[in-house]
Formats: sequence, structure tokens, C-alpha cells
Amino acid sequence: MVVKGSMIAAPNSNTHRKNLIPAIGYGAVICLLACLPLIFKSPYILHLFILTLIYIIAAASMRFIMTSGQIPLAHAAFLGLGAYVSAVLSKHVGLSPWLALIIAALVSMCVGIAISFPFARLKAFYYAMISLFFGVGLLQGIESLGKLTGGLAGITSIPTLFSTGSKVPYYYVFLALTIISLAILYRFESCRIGWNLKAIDQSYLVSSSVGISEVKYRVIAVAIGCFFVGLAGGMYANYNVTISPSSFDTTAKLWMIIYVAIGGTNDFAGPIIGTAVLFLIPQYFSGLKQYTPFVSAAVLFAVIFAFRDGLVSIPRLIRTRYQRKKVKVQTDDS
Amino acid sequence: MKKISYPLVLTSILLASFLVFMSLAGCTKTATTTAATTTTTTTTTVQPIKTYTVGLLAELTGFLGSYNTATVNEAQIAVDMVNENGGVIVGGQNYNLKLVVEDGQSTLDGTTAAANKLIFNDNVKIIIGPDAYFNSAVSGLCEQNKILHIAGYCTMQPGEMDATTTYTFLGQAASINYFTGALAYLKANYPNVKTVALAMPDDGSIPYFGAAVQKMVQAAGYTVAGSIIGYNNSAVDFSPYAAKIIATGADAVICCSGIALPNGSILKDVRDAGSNMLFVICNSTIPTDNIKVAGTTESTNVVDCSAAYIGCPNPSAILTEMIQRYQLLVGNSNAPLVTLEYANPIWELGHVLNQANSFDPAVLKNTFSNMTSIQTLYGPGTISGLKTFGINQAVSYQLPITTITNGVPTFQTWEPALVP
Amino acid sequence: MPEATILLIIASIVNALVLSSMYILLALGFTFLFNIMGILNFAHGAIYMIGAYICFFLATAVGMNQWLAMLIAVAAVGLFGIFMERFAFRPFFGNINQIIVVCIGIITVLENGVSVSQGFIVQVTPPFVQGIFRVGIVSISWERVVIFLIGISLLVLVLLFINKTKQGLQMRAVAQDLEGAVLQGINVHFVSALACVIACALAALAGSLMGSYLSLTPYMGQDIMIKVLEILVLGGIGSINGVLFAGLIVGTLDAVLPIMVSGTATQAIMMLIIIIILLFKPQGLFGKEVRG
Repeated sequence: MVVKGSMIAAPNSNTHRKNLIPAIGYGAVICLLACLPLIFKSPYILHLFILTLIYIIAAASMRFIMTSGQIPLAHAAFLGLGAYVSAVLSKHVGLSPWLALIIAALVSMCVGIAISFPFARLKAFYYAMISLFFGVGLLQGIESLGKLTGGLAGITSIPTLFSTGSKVPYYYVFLALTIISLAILYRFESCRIGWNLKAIDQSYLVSSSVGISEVKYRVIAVAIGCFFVGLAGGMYANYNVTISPSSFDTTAKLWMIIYVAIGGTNDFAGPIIGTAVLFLIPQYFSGLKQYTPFVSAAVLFAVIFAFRDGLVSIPRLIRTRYQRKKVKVQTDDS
Repeated sequence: MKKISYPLVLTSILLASFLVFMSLAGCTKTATTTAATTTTTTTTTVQPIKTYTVGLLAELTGFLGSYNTATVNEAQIAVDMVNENGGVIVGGQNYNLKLVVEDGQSTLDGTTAAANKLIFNDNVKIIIGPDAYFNSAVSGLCEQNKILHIAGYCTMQPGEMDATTTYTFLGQAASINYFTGALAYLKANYPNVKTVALAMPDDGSIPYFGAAVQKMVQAAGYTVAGSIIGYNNSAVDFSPYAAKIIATGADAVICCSGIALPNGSILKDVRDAGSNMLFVICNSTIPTDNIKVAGTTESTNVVDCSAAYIGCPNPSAILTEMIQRYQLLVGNSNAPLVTLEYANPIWELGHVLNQANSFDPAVLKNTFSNMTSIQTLYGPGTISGLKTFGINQAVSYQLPITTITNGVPTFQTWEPALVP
Repeated sequence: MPEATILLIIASIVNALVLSSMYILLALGFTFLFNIMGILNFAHGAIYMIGAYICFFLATAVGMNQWLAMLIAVAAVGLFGIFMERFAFRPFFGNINQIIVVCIGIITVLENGVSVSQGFIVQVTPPFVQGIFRVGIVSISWERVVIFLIGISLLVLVLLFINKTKQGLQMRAVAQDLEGAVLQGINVHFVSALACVIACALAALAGSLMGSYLSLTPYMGQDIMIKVLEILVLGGIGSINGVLFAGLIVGTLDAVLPIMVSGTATQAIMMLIIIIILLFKPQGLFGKEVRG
């Protein structure tokens, strides 16, 4: 058992200043994001932001599972599961949408645990394929329950979280939910659970020899990841009023992994920046109508060939090049 | 140990400024590009001509993408034809129509987003479209916000068009009309057919659309053999479904997919398995497309009730002009019309606007539903649909019946195909 | 037993065999590439689609004989395989995330390019063989017989290639141990490129045949990718032998399930069955042990 205190450096006079800079940074960003609805009144822009927030939660939770070395290709299907559970509960059963949200997240978590437990020992590729099949099967299963879920045509008139037509309350609530979810995920990742997951990723043999149960921690990772993506799905359903299987299909699954991979899997900020870039840029170019997918592909190629580790590695690359220049200058002088 | 995640801080700031930049740029940009590049000619009248913008919701990307891009071209031609005929005259002022097109991305939520954009961002009061089963995303929204909605297709799913959607009209004879036409023709010309098998895409519409069709078939005096056979529209191979159809032992099978691939493939597989049962196709796919997929030897003993296609005798004068202009636009004198599912509603809208003499959707909807007849691009049409949809707001017009023997389509007759 | 049921059973058996060989034909290039080189070619469906369109274009616009068009399409797409290996697979070898990303980029460009340029018009390649073959109450079209024969013979050819030829042996060596193979003097880049060429050629061949049996749509590649992945995972990684049995299982399920349940439920049940099989044998039927 590792005592938390021994791994953390003892606080010294610098700690407050070191903690202050990121805190101010995050605070400024949060304030800026909170002020956005006041600056941009257009409901369409708010709609885009709200969708971005939902996908950020989904992508961040996907990356959290990926830190353990497994790639959950079914993640968009869990988003769909959360959406459908929340929709059916709030529309057909009549529960309050808020309650339906929480239950959707819990259901998603349970299904995630059920599917990952038997397969937790597998290597990345095999788990990815099984996850993909499960995702496809789950979505087809949802689609085939025609009477309940409306089949291909989906569900409409889902009860909304707020009865006003304005999107502003949605934006604030979702912003709050996103920040809370990201904070919780970050906390998980930087505490013991996260370290154990990274250890399992690096070498399952060594970590099991140290006493870190591979199955237990991977299942925990999937449980947490699926909880948040189920929550995101429920948010999506109760905001969008309509859902259909086509938004969670194989293409969506693959694009979700692109959001994470382009952003960068090595850092927590990766999925955030990846989602924002790859989701918002095609929207900006939506005037091109049928040529818009080419823009997405171009961005994809540009990033993957230029920045292998994703967009999030740009600051590090700049810093290392700057440091290299600094060192070079020093060695020239001496 | 708590490390400062520089990437996290920097990228959060980057993200925030990025979002700000995007929205600043996005704010000033409105999507007003139309798919076709045609010049609109304006008729010279004494008063200066104003333009009135109508919203068009099309599925420009996704599985309906290439199909809808062509229908949007046709819609633009219809707008040009309306404008060249003097536009619409409302309140003594001459208006030319203009389209603003939004992409529904062939998904339900994409269509919802596009509808939101049309209503709240582009501020239109009239929406034409969408295609397939996406009306459920639009009708409720139009009802809430009092926007006139003329749909191009309807699969009778909940929320598409019913007694509560008073602002929604069906401007194109789509889906159920083809059954009316085919059954009438069958009754008159194939007295030996007693049992009918029904094959439909299993996309969630079977409990609603399938039930309505089953009732219609039984009301025409036929027995439905077995239960409705639902097939996967994007299956790789349809032979298991063909085997299932043959096993029902029915005299005829009615197949009604909206795209040619399943229709033709099932026909091909049924014939290849040795069965010569009467094959009835009831949808907008043109007979030549079905023949292409099924092959010439397999396309035999087929009755096809489709939308009017090039080659039907005595097309209305306006349809001939539409065909000519479309072929000129695409530069191919043999290009088939797709279907006029956006063009037809626009043509009808022109008439409704002139008759109502107002742009107010509430006035327009009353005028439209009270019209006894209306001019469509296919010829004269009637407004009905109370028994089928629950509301009297569907346009019906005559549909061509074609029989196919050994790969050769032969036009038979025009069926009135009135929807009760 | 009523005649209808007998017919149904016979039809199902025939369908199962034909479907199995069709799926094997589709999956052969993909499984070959992954089993031998460890490259997950997600863009397999898009390449299959491009092969189909090239064959269609040559057979209709240029007016060639379909078989000749198919050969040229196979050659052209095979050469494209070299390009893909050099720029898409070699830089990202081993990192599954990045390979998926690049493949999706390729898929997006190819599918949307074809969709935008070709449009909606229904297009079918002229049939390769025509006519129906009847024996007693059994009736199959010659096209399906040809697909069956081509599928099986290609499988045998690929197996022979891997086991008997020098290049095949080199590929197996590279798959077994990359460094050891390099030390032996095997030109890994050449072997890699050759494998990609063969995989793309197989995909194009399948596409050309399917272009006339089914018809052409820009998204035809997406429909088959799930089936192909199923065959790969069921068959097992590291062994081409598994393709035969996996193809049989998936083909039989696909021929029999639609008769019992309706369309969409078929897919869900099939996934369930596959996952249950994988529960007991996660490495597939013939694969090697996988833990990690």
C-alpha cells in the first residue's frame, strides 16, 4: 500500500506560486467560456458549443480508458446507450429528465463493467475488435427494438431539461457538468488509480507482480469511462430532443477515436483540443456542403503527418526546439 | 506529486481563444450557397421586384448525399421557373423566390440541427423538405414555431404528419400513394392473384407504415401471406430474404424500398432461385434502375408503380420543360430525372402563395388545406389524406404503372392513386 | 415435409456456401495483410470500392471486356498498394491509433470523392457470366457459382503462396521476428510492399466481382468492413487457415438468421454469438495465445 504523502513533494515556499499559475489559467478560461453566451447570442453558435462540450466529455472518458492500454472502440455506442436510456425513461416511463440522466449514466456503467470484465486480460487489438463488435451489436440491438426505440428513425420529442426554448441554460449547465466531469477524470488520473492504469499499460507482467490486479483496475477504468459517456449521452438526448442510431454508428465510433488520437493520447488535454478542432472546423466550413468531409480529412492528414503525438504535443515541441536553440547558443559561446 | 501540466494550461487557453475566433468568424457567415449555378432571370414589371427567401432542408452528405444533391438542382430549376412566370404576387408586390439550403447530413439529429439553423439563424418562415423519414425532426419544430412545412416524403412514423402537425403538408405523392396505384392496377389486371407477401426495409417503419400497408392490402381483398418480411436495407446479400419470400408460397410479393439496390437485388435473387411469382415494386425508384440492378433475364413478370419518369407518354407540359432544363443543366441529354421531391413542393408553394396573397404561415396553411385541387409538376393534383394520415394535407396525383418483361419496361397506364 | 420447407432448407444451404465464399473473398486481402504483416488496413473497404469503380468505368465508358477490366483494375489498385505501404503504414507501424486515423482519412477522401463525382445514378458493372444453373429443384445463377469457385481457389492460392513460395516464406519470417529476418538479409521493405500489393489486388478483385453481382455505391466498402473484421477476429490472428472456418461460420449465420428473425435483429444476434465464441476463445479459432 503506498501512502499518498510519501509520493508527493513536501510543500515549500514555491508551492503556492506553482499552484497559482495553472489555477489562474483555468479560472480565466472558465470565466471566458462562461461569458460566451453573453457575447454570441446566436442560438446556432451556442448549439455548436453545447455539442462540443458533450463530445469533450465523451472523448475525455474514452482517453481515460485508453490509459490502461485498451482501446474502447465501442465508446460511441455507449454514448448512444446513455442517450436511448435517458430518452426512453424520460419519454415513455415519464421520469424527470434529470433523474433519467443519472440512471442513464449508471446503466452505461453497468453494461461497460459487464462487457469488459470477461475480456479485461486481452491485448489492445483484441479488446478493440471485441469492443467494436459489441458496439455494433449494441446499436443494432437498440435499433431492432422498433416499438420502443423507433428503429432507424429514432426517437423524437424527448422531454427537455429546461422548458424554456432558449439554449443558454443548457450551455451553462453543460459547461458546469463538463468542468466537473473533467475535474473528476483528471483527479482519477493523477491519483493512485491513474498511476496503476499507466503501470498496467506499460507492462502487465511487472504490474501484476507488484500486486496491481490487471482485471480490477481495467474494469474500474471502463466503469468510470462508461459512466461519464453515459452521462454525456443522456445530456445529448435531453438537449437535442431527437436521437437516432445514425449519430452513434461505426463512423461515429471511428471519429471519436480520431478526436482522441489527433488531440493526443499522452496528455489529459488531448481529447479536449482534438474534439474542439475536429468538430468545429468542419462546421465552420459547412458552407462547402458536400465538400466538407474533405476539410476534415485534410486536417486529419496535416496533423497526423506533422505532429505524430497529436496537437497537444505542439507546446512541448516548441519548448524543446527553443531549449535546443538555447543550448546551442550556450555551447557556441563556450 | 503534482506536476504543472503546461500542455493543459496552454491548450485550454488556446482552446478558449480558438472558440472565440471561430464563433466570431462563424457569426458573420450565413450559409446561402445553392447547389446549382444558374442565372435567375427576372421579369420586368413596373414595380421593383423583391426577393423572398424559402428554406430548403436537404440531406447533402451521408447516404442520401449524392441523391439529394441532384434533387436540389431540380429544386433550383423549379424556383427559376416560378420566377420566370412572374414570381409570386403578394399584397400587390411582385416577389422572386430564393432558396437557402441547409444540410441535414442524412441523420435525424443533423436534420434537427439544420431545421434549427433555418428557423433561428436564417429566419425563414417556410421550409421545404426533408427526405425519407426525417420529417419527425422537423414537423414538431415547425408546429411550435408556426413555420409552414412542405415535406417531400413521408414514412408515416410518429411525429411525421398527423392530426397535430397542422403546419405540415406532403407535397409529393410519396410512399403510400404508390401502393394505392399498384393495388388498383393489380385488382383490375391480375385476377389470379389471391395472396400477397409484403417485403419492406426493417428500419423501424414496419409497425407504422407496414401496418398501414397491410390494412390497405387486406381492404383491397388480398390475404397477406405470413407476416411482413423485414430486410436489412444495407445487407450484403439478399438471397436469404428471397428464400423466405418464396417459402411463403404467395402469388405475388410487394417490395417497396426507396432505393433501387434492395428492390433489384431481391427480384434477382427470387428469380435466380427459380420462382416466377409476380413481383410488384411500389416506390419512387424508376423501372430502368431496378432492371439495371436485377439484370435483364431476371426482370420479368414485374409490375412497377413509380414516380413519373422520362419516357412516360403525355407528360404534362410543365414536366417536359422541367426535364429539358434539367438535362441542359447537367449537360446530358439522357439524364433521368431523379424525383421532384423538392421541386414539386416549390411549384405548389408558388400557387399557394398566389392564392393566399400572404406570407403568413397561418394563412398559408388554411389556404393550402382548403384547396380542392392544385397544380403540380406532374399534372393536376388533389389534396386529401384524412383517413390515412389523420389530416387532410397530402397531395395526390396520377402515377405511371409499368410492366417489365425480359428486361424491357412497357408503360401501361396512369393510375389516379388517390390517398384516402 | 412440405415442399416449401425442403426448398427453404436447400436454398439456405446453397446461400450459406455462396455467402461464405463471398465473405472469404472479401476478407482474404485484409486477413492476409494483418496475419502476415501485422498491418491493420482499415481502408480495405474503400480500396475494394475503388477497385469496383475502376472496373466499372473501364467496362462501360471504355467498353472493355469485363474480365480484362477486372485485371487492369486489380493491377492498378495493386500498384496503389505500394504507395499506401510507403506513406500510410510504414511511418505508423505498430501504433494502432495512428493507423486507424490515417485509414479513416483515406476512406473519407475516397468515399466522398467518388460520391461527389459519381452521384446517385444506379451503376452496375455488366455481368461476368450470365444464366441460371438448374439441377432438379435446385436453381443457382452462374454468377454465384463463379464467385464461389473464385473465392475458394483464391484462398487455396494464397495458402500455397504463403507456404510454398520463397516470398511467402520471407513474409512469414518477417511476421515471426522482424529483427531476425533483417539479420537473415531479408529486404523487409520489399516484403512489406509486396504484401500490400497482394492485399490491395485481392480487394480490387473482390470489388470488381461484387460490382456486377451487387451494384456500385460509394459506401459499399463500409457495409463489408464489419463482416471482414468478424472473419479476422473469429479466424484468429496469425493464421490464414482460420479464414476458411470463420468464413463458413459467418456465412452460415448470415444465410440462416434472416429467415428466423427480421433484418436488424439478425445483426444483433450475430454479434452476440460472435462475442460468446470469443468469450471462450478470445484468440479466435486458430489464433495464437493473446494476453496483455
